Amino acid sequence: MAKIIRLRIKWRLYILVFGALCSFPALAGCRKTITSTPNATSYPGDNYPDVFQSFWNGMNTNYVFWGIDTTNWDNMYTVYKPLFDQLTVFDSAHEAKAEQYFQQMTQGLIDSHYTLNFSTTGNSFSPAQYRKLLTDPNYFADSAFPAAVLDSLIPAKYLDKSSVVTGTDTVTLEGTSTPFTAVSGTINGQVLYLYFSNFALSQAGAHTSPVFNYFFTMLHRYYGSLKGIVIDLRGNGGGEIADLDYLVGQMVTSQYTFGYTRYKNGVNRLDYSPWAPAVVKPWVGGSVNVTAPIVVLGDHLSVSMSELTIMAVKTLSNGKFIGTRTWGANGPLTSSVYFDGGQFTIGGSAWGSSGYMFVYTSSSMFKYLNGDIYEGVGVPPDIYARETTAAYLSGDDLVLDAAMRYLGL
Amino acid sequence: MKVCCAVTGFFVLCSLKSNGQLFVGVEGGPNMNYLTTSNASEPFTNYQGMKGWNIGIPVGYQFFDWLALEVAPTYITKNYDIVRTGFFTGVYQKNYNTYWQLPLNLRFSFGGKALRGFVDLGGYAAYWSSGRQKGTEANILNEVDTAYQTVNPTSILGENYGYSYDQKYTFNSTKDNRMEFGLIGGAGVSYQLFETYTFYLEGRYYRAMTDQQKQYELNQAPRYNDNFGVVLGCTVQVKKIVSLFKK
Repeated sequence: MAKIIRLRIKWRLYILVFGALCSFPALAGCRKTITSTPNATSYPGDNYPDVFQSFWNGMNTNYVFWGIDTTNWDNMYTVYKPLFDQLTVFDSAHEAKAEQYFQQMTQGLIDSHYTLNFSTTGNSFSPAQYRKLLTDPNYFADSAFPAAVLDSLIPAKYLDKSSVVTGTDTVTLEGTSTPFTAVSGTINGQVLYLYFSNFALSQAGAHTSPVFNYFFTMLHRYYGSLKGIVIDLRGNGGGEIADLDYLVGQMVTSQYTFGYTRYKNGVNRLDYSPWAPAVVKPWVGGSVNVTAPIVVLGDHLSVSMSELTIMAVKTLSNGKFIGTRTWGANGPLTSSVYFDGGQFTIGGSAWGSSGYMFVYTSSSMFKYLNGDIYEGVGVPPDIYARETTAAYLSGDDLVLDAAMRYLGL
Repeated sequence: MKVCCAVTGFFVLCSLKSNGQLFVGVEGGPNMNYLTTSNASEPFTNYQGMKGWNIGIPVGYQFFDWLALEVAPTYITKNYDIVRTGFFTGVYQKNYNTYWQLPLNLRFSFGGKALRGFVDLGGYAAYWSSGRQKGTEANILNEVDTAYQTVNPTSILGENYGYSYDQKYTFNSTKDNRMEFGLIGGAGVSYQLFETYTFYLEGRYYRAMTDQQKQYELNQAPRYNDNFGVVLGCTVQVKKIVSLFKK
């Protein structure tokens, strides 16, 4: 009897051990391999196939518009990997091929900040610019703004002579020295006008500081009696985010939301953070509650911070956007160290100190208050008005004229 | 085919022992969940485990004193935390995910009549029913005024004000794989009282074998839940309850 019991216990133990042995390999295996995909900047990338792999992975991780961009990025891998694998030698012919492939891969991307900068040749490629010129070869040529209108028309015809303040400094934007021009004055003593070429107000020097001092002094002193304020952002290429509060924040006395941003927060394409409210805060140095209409002028060359400022102004109950649809690059962009996603460099030191290629791209996706995302399409105006060469030659700024009509002048 | 084999096996086992016992009960306890994934390209980012809990209703059939088949519809949380470090300290996201889970396992037990040890082996299917995200992120369009106030920030939240959120997670049908299948391994001790009630304490491991995401891109970094829990439970023999009611 005791022997039988011992045998039964033994049998059960065998089953237990067998079951455990069978199950542990199953517990350990079967999952997909979790490969440790390195940061795009960490690839050795001293040959074209590596550079391609680095770029393709970097785009998966860093490009913030996969949620709305219709580019089939997997298909790009399938099509272009074999082509890059054939580029076995680095010479000018292969480099030209490589740049051509990169351009073909990215030409449909909606990020309108997006630019490929090839360090070895100095070439660059902007998909947004490529598409705009494809549909309208005169996209850049048929606008008389800003230089001609600004130099000879607005100060001469529209601004009160005694009020005109203008100046030009040189500022640094994205590491590049850029001319920075600003103009301010009054129109009929009733409207305060401000133009500046870039959002670099904190860098205003000896020549442009008087312009901003004039504008903000007049704003703070006469905001109650002004019939309107015109902020002219035509041709403005954007710049520093801090200027949003510095400019718009001086015209409001309470914080408000004008849209939302979100970032990448994981390595896969659809890993996003929640939408965070984009706000304008009253500037810490002081602000006034402007109740008069605030008109912002913009055009097809208003880019990035210009577009964000336009949306911030048009959100106000007394804000109005007059002009044409903007460029369409409104995903805020900052140094890649701050957020998961955004600009990155590929290619190791074998290509030189700047690597093989710098990919300039937005750090976050922006959604306007109404839920629309204007990336790649531009912000539509509340009132359409467009300057033409013919109008300029006859001494008219049709956009400013539209603003004056709106303000009842 | 597998289902047919399982059902056939079940009836074969039932026929082997006519005096088998059906039991039902309740179990629950705390757990610790980890998300296993690759984040090598995310600097200063740690994926950390988070505490959760689960409660279930075990229903089983005791074929022999050493073998039982058990199924336990369970409500379980599988949480994890993404924490930024260094310059990014203060940025985090706690992910609270709840699943309706159906584990099916064999329980091999051994030992004395009242106090026994056991080992659980099986698998489970789960449905990701809801999610909540709580955290703080740096808000790019809510800057701390560093340009005009010449502040020298020492952290990302000194550059940009943090946006704190606590919101329901909205599922993305392209991305989220709401069905999860996995394996169960567990070991514990049980104590039978009055030959009717069985109390048990078990350490249990739920290992997801399916990705938390659908396969929507090439070279996708998978995400798996690894859930370690302690379960305290009590079962009662159905036959005994029925006889109590009959009396």
